[in-house]
Amino acid sequence: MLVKIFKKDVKRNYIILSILFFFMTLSVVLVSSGTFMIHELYASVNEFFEKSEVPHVVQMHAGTIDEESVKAFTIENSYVKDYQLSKMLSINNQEISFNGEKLNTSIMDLSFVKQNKSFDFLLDTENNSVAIQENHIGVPVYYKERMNLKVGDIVTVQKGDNRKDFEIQYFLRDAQMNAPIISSKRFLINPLDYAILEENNDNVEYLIEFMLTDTEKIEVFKKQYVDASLPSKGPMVDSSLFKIMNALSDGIIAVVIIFVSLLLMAIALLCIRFSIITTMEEDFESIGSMKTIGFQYSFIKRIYHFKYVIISILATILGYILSFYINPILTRNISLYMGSSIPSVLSYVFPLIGSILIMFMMILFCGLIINRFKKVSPVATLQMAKTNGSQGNKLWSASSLKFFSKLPTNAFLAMKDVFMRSKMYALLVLILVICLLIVLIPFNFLTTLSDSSFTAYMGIGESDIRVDIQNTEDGYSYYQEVLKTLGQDPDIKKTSGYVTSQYEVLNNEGYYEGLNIEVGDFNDFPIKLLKGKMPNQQNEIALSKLNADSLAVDVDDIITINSNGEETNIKVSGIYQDITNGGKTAKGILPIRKNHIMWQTISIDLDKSVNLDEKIIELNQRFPSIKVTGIQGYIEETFKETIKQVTTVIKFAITIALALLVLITSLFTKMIVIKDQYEISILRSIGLSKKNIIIQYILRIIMVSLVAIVIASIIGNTFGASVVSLLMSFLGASKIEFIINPIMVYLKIPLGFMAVIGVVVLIVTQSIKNIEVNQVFN
Amino acid sequence: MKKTILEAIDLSKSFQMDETVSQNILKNINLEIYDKEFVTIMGPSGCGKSTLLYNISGMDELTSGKVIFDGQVISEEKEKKMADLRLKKMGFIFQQPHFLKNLNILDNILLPGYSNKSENKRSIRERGETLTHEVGIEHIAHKEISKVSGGELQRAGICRALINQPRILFGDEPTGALNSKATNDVLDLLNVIHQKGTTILLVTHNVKVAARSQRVIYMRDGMIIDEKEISGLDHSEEAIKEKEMVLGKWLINLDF
Repeated sequence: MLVKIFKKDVKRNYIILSILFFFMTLSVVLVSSGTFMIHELYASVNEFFEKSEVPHVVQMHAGTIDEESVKAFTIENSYVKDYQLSKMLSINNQEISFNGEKLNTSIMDLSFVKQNKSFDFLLDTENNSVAIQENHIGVPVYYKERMNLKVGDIVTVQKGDNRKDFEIQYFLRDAQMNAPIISSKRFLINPLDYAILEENNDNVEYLIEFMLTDTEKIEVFKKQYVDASLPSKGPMVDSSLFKIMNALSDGIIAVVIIFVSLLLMAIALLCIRFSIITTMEEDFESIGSMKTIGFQYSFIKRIYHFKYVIISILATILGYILSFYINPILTRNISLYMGSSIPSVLSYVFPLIGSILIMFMMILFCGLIINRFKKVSPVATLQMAKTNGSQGNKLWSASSLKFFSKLPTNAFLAMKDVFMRSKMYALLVLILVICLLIVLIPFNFLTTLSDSSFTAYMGIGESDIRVDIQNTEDGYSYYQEVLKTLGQDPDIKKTSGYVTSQYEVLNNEGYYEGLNIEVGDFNDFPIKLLKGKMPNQQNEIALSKLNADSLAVDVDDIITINSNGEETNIKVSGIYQDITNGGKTAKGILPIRKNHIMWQTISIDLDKSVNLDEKIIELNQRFPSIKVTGIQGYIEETFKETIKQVTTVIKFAITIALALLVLITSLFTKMIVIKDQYEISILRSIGLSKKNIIIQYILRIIMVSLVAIVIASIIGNTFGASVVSLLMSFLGASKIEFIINPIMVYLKIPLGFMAVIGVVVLIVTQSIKNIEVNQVFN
Repeated sequence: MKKTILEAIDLSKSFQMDETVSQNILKNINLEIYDKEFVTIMGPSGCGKSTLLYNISGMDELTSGKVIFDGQVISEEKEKKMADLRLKKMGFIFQQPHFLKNLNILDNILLPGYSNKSENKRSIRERGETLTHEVGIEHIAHKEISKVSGGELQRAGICRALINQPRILFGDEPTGALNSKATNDVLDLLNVIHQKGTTILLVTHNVKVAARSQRVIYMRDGMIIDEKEISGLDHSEEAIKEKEMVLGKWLINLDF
């Protein structure tokens, strides 16, 4: 009999049940895919790292190197299983082109290397270590995607009159520098070609790489290396950071997918709740009669529960199967950059467990809702049937046509209904708010990210132009020369130079660790601080938020810096936000550590009459071995991938939000029309046309939408910024303030939503035409 | 010369039970209602009298035939036109006065008036308040519908039906759910309305109700079997009792 009831129910309410089924299925698809993605990411990273034989510790070093000191250290150190020096030839972005196309505005640090002998192998797209033929090249997969390259394309290196063409032989996966967010990339060439390039290139960097006997001792080993004062003109990184960097963006996506799935499930459950309560209220008389006759509530419950149990099971099966079609799309990035993992049973089991959990949650939730009416007595149920369910809002029940006679009748009836049944409409408001927030928050983030004031979160002041000078043997004197020349340029209003060197800071565990400090005058291009002020006298320092947290210091605290063997106490004058360079930077006024310079930068403001783009081109031509970028371009280039991803997220979010909007509005409107058949018949019997009644429904939903828009705008602009700040705090920016595009946020997006809602309500309420005037009265 | 206000010509109505079986509820009904007449339709349960009322008032679609109201063929009119007709020219009283629970008594009464845009709201409001006074419910006009008695609610239903001064008033068992006192009150009211010039067509199985009318039409099995004139404007208790007796005998002969 339950199957019979189920079949009749499906036939009668197929639209509503279809929408619920869709949400449940989608929720299962996303949980299953998200779980699969996490498993795949974990397995792929591990397998990739195993094949690559990633070093446990890497010390980067720019310039010449004392190989003997490193070798001596290694021989004496019992933690070292193996080590190697990997030499990299740095190539300027302007010196390289792909099929004739240059990378003028790129901020990537590019290096040419030979394949390592012992470990840290660059792999091809089959995850095999490769040997490159002469006149050929292995190109990072990052450029395959970005420049749309294929095997056989030509990469040209041109420095002055010296030109060399390479044919692409492989695309490379690089465990250290794979991820798009890492601003260094390695190209693999044949040792003979390497020797030719080396002759004309003295811009060298080394990767001093170590494999340890015990990975638990990484931190200890790092301290020993620092204490030994070995070559360290660059950051020191370990394998755990490589893993994080490789897994970060896909990891975030997987988490977001699971979050969205849970959100969809919450929406599905809210809709189910609404559906169950509405249906049971419609059936009060029948339920009351059954109770009066003596049926147990467990039997009554089964009639309503059976339908949702079946739908949940079917949705879970379908969702789980469908997820396998979606998984390749979601894991495309993982496959490209790290390779797919070896298929295992766990790839099927984890998603299945996730799907089944969702199914049980849905079934349990339905049961809990249906139990709501368990304790209501038979007589009370019948009485509730007579009064047609809930009583409504008493405050608004007193409002009268007499007092609101200026309002059109349709508007008055619509407004009255919304307020009288506000609890019911609250569900729609909640869902509309969620739909709007899904779009508004990433949109506000993108607006903020694309604005030049985003420099506030990058630890740099706002300027017209930024010059980056990598450190070389005579890098510092070249930097001084460039700074002096720029200072004499009549087009330039002001310049300020900054030198970043590596110092050592005493951490709160009692040992020294590396700290990159940018030294310069910060008055001309001040940065926005979270607290305190920029250093403006000797032995003052401002720390990035992550550094301040790591050192457990606040404004006015003292930290101890080791510079050239001398310990100096430095006062923390301020704390700022910085998501670049791992979020760990510092700015101070103290003696430059010339033997440990990492890089130099110059900020430039132009005279207002000067054309920015033309000046950038001119400076790039004048100083070919430095990077000159406009600050807007610098932000865009730094966050190119992030902007691209956020834009993709926004497009995806708009699609999801509109789909949700259409489905939920349809479901809600359909349910209300069914619930209101009696009232609709009354209105029609006294002479209101179907058009009038449809207008009332549209007005009701529009009123509800306006409330949702106001709430979503407030939340999106305030709480939304807090959510993004929370996520960004792990990267170093804990207090993001949104820049709002008012036309989009307050006008275009809300109007777009309301238009969609209006159309959906108009379509769904056409079913009112099928309600016969007298059908309810007979 | 009597003027016909409402006419049904060969009106038939059937319902489709399933794909192959249909049930004929009304079979070729021919009926004329004259202007300012008070007519009741009687018959056993299931004879189709309510169905006839809904079809002849445009609330339901005919299967075949024609309905002409005030010289206009309304059975072929579109829904929008029919709604307009119901609003401006017809009033309807149900057995259960179906009111909107979101509105109080007065608002329910005023609602059709405010929806009728051919008059200003102030005059509608004044008429509504007058009607509540005439039927004796002005003291409950601002109460919620769940807080008043069945009789008061039915009188409010009559006010709502009259707010736009309709040409004809339809009623489907308007006293069916009332006690005897409330029934008499409602019937007295209907007679007053009739005397003021409104045409009334009621469906009832109650002889007391039929006795208040001028003509009674008898239906059985979807067809009109007979009709009887019982005209007279004397609504005194004795006159009504006499009419009841006449009707009673007539109905017995018809096997009611």
